[in-house]
Amino acid sequence: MPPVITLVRKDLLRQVRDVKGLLLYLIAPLFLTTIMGMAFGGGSIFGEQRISAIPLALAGGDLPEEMKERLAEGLQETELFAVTWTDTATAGRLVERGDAKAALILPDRLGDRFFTGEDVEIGLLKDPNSPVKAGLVELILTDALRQFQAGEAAYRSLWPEDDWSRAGDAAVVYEDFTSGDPRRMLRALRRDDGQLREGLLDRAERWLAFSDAMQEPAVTFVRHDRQEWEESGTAGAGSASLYDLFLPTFAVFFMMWGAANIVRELHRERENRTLARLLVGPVSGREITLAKWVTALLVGASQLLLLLLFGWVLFGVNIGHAPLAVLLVAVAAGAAAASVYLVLGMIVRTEKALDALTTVFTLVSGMIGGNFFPVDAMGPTLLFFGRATFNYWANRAYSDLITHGRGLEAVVGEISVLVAIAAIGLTLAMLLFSLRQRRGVLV
Amino acid sequence: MISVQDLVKKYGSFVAVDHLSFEVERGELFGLLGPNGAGKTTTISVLSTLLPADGGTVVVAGCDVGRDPGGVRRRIGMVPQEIALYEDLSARDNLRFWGQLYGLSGSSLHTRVDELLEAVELTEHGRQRVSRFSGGMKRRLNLAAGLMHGPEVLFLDEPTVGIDAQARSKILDLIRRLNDDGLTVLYTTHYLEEAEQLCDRIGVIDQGRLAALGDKDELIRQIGDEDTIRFVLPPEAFDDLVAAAAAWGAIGDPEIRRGRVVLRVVDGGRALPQLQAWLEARDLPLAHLEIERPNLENLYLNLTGRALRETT
Repeated sequence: MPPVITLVRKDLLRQVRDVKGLLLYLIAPLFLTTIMGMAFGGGSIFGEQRISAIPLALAGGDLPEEMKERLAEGLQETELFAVTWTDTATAGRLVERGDAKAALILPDRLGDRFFTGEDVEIGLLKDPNSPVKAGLVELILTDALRQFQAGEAAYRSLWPEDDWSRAGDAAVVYEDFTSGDPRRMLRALRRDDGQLREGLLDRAERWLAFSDAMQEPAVTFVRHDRQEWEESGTAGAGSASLYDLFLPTFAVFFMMWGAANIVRELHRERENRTLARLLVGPVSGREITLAKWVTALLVGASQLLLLLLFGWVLFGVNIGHAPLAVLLVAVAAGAAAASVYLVLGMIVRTEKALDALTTVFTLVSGMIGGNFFPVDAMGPTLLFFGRATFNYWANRAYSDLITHGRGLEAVVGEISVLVAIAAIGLTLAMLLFSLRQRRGVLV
Repeated sequence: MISVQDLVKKYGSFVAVDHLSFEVERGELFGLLGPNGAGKTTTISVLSTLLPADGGTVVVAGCDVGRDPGGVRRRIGMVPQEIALYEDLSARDNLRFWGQLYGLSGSSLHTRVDELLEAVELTEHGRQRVSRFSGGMKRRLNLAAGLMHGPEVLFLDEPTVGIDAQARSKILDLIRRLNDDGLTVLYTTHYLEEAEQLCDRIGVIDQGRLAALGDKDELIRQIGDEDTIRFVLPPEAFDDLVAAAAAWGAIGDPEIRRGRVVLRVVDGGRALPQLQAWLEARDLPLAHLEIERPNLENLYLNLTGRALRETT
C-alpha cells in the first residue's frame, strides 16, 4: 500500500475516533443547520409550510356562523394566516400578549351596512412587537380592500341602477341568502311576479361578466431567472428560499473550519513527535504533505456535501438541478481549502499560532467571500476583494447552481479557479515543508 | 555499523555537537552518556537523518546520511524520547500503521504485531487506546513501534525517562534481549546505572564533545584504579596515621575533608584490615566508615568537574 494511502487511512481513522472533533466539526454544523432550517420555516419532516402562518384574530360583528367559517377558511387557505374568531375584548388581549400579531374588529350589521351603502369601518389592532408580521397583515388586507373597493366603484359606475340601497326587495333576498335558509329565498321568488327574478338574473349576469373581466390581468410580471431555467430544460424544481441561499454558504464556511482542523493536526504531530518518527521512516515530506491535503480535502468535501444532503432531506432545500456539479464544486472547494490552510500551517511554527491565524483568516474570508450574505448582493469594492478568496468562488458556484438553477457548464469557470488555487497552494505547501525540514524546524 | 567522524551540528552560533567521532560495531550496544543539553539527542537526530549535519561524515548501516538518507531510514528504527504514538488509536492500530508504512501487509503484518505485543507484554491491552495506558506501557509500545520493520540498527533516545523502576527494568531487559539477538543499539541516557548495566561500550559526551570512550573498565581505569576509604578519626591521631598509611599502599597523604579522613589506596580490600589493626592498637573506634570503588560518576566528575546528577 503506498505510504500516502496509509497516512490518509490513519488520519481518517483518527478523525472518526476523535469524539471532540466530530462534535465540533460535524454534529455542531448539523445542529446549527437544523436550527437554521427551523428558523427559516423549511422542512419536509417539520411540515410543508415554508413561511409560518401569522396568527390573526377576528372579532365583533354579528355575521352568521356560516359566514364566519367561510371568512376564516378563506383567509387560512392563503396559508398566510392562522385565524381565531373571538370577541372584541379577547382580540385586544391576544394582540397585547403577542398571541395574535393583529386583530380585525368587524362592525355590527356588516352585510346590511355594505349593501345599503352605509359607511363600513373595520378596526385593525397591531402587535407593536411584531412590526413585520402585523405590517404584512395590514398590507395584505389593505390591498384586498382596495381591490374590492375598486371593483365596487367600477360596478356602480357601470350599472348605477343596481344600487342595493334602493332595492328593498333585493335586501330581503340577500338576508335570506346570508341566513343560510334557501327555502325562504325560494318562497320569495315563487311569490314574485317575474320582475324580481328577472332583475336578480340580470344582476347575476352583470356580476359574472364583471368578475370575468376582473380576472383578466392588464399587467403581468415576467421572471427572467425562471425563464432561463425553462430554456435550459431545468424548470420544475421550484424557486429558491432564504434557506436555499444560505445553507450552501454556511456549509462552505463550516468546511473551512474542518479543513483548518486537519492542518492543525500537522502541528499536533510535530509537537507529539510522531512527525519526527514519520520523517525517519520511509516516507518523504512531500508524501506527508500530500496525505494531509488529501485528508483535509476528503473531510472538507464530505462535510460540505453532508450538510447539503442533510438540508435537502430534512428541510427540502433546493440543491439545484445538477448534482454532479454540486459534487464537483464540493471537491474543488475542499481541495482549495486544504491547500490554503496547509500554506497557512506551513508559515507558522506552533499549533497555537495556527489557531489564531486560521480563526482570523476564516472569519475575514467568510466576510468578504460571501459566506454571510449572497454573493449576488456584493458591491463592486467587496467583489474586488472577495475574488481574492477561494470561498468566494465556491459560494458563487453554488449561487449559480442553486439560486439561478444553472448547470455544470455555468460553473466550469469557478471550478477551474478553485482547482488552480488548490494546485498552486499544494505546491507551495510542499515547498515550504521541504524548506522547513531542511532547516530542521519541523523536529 | 555506525561511523561518526568529526560530526558538527550548530543551531545558529551555538555549537550543539563539536567534532564528535566514534564507531559502533555490528551487534554492539553502545551508550552515549551525558547530562541534558550535552548533545545526545542532536547527535541521534543527525544519525537518524532528522537533522542535517553542518560538518563531518556519518555512515549508518553502510549508507551515508547526507547522500543516501532514504537508505539509512529503511535500515534504522527510532525510539524517540517522547511517546511518539497516536494516543487516540489502539496499541494494535499504532503498530499496524507503522508496519504498513514500512510495507508490511497481510499475515506478515498481523504476525509481527502479535510478536511485538507479546515481546513488550501488551498482548492483553492490544485493543485498548494508548491514551489509557500507564507511562510504562506507553514506553514499551513506543519501543515496539520502532521495531516493527525489523531494523538493523536501533536508536534509543532516553527510553526510560519518567517511568518507575519496575517498568524501567522491563525495558532494559527487552533491550538486552534484542541486543543478544544481534541488533545493533545506540542508546542515549543520562542515567549512569543504566549505562553501566546495559552498554558494551560508553561514550561520555559533554557540551557536544566526546569526553571519554571505552568499555566500563577502560573508562574507570582512566581515572585510576584506586579505592577511597573515609572514616572519622580524633585529630590528635592524624599525624600518626599519615606516617603509617604509606605501608598500607596509600596513594599520597591522607586528607581531612568535612571532618573525615580521606585515604586513597591501591587496594581497599587489603588496606582495610591493616587500618583496623592500627586503630585497635591505639584503642580508637572505627566510626562512619565508607569505602568507594572507582565508578563512572567519579569519571564524569573527573572529566567535567561536575557531578552527573547535578547537571540533569
